[in-house]
Amino acid sequence: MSMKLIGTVTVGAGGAASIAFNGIPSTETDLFIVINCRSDRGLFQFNAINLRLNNDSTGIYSFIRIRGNGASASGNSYSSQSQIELSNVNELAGATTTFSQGYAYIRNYSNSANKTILSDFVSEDNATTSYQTMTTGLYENTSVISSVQLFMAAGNIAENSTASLYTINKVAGA
Amino acid sequence: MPTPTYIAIATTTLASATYSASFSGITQAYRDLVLVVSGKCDVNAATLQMILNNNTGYNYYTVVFDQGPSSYQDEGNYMRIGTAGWWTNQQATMIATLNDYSTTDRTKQVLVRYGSGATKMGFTLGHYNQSAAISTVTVRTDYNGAGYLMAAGTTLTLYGIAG
Repeated sequence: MSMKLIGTVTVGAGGAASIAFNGIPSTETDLFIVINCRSDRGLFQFNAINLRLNNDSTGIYSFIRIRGNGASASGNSYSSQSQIELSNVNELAGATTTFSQGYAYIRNYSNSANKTILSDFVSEDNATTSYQTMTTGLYENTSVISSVQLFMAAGNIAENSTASLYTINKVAGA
Repeated sequence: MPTPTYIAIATTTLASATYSASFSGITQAYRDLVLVVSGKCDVNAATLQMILNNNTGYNYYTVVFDQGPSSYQDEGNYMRIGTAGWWTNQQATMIATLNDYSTTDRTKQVLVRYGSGATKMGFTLGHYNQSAAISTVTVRTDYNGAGYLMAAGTTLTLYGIAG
């Protein structure tokens, strides 16, 4: 099997400031993170979830995205960021049992090239506005990725949110 | 989208700047294929193309949805992968899923996500109007000349997904 489950984090009562995977083995090729989450903030219907690598908050991330909200489509690009914004996800002001779904694919995390990320997300809700987001990100650092952090733009990740980290190996028979 | 059945079939790392790279003799043991290309254009910018079974006939149709956001259609002797010039000298990734590649009773659909993270990204739906099973997949740039090639170090990996 070329795809292996490294671990799953389920957020406990009270929420969590972040979901982190640490000590990722550098023996594989790619990382694949499956995310099912919502925000515990109660102000709006949606909140942004962010991705950071190696706990690095320097401004060496860039990303571009295409997003549809049920009424229109938009495209935006960002540079010199301290994280990659993956998508808007549901928060407590929306339906309380609705979680957003998505994944992030990090290619060549264990080699000495800059890291590119592809991500797709959906955040459906009992409302006319919901988001579908496709994002591509760049982390301009050649270090091996040993940890991944997920966190909200504001507030915590809500209870019962989950994230699973898989590794993928490009070597046949690995 | 990857699933836990990802099985690596073959991988290639380009030793030098290259116009075209192929996987041939692909096993028919799976239902779908996933091709992941990671790397960059050697100097300038290019667009990647896909050729199936070495067929360069007028059999390929593509719809692109890119960062504009804009959408357009293309057709011809190859499958266009993405926005013009998206394959830049900046590290980029492309993931293509070839659905039902081993079947012989239907034409083939290819879903592609691509992006450089810095300038261009998008989604492509490709159609190959032949029903023969796919045994060879070729990726190339849109111009065979220095400065517009896949750079040395670019990796291409083919995975199988069981049906």
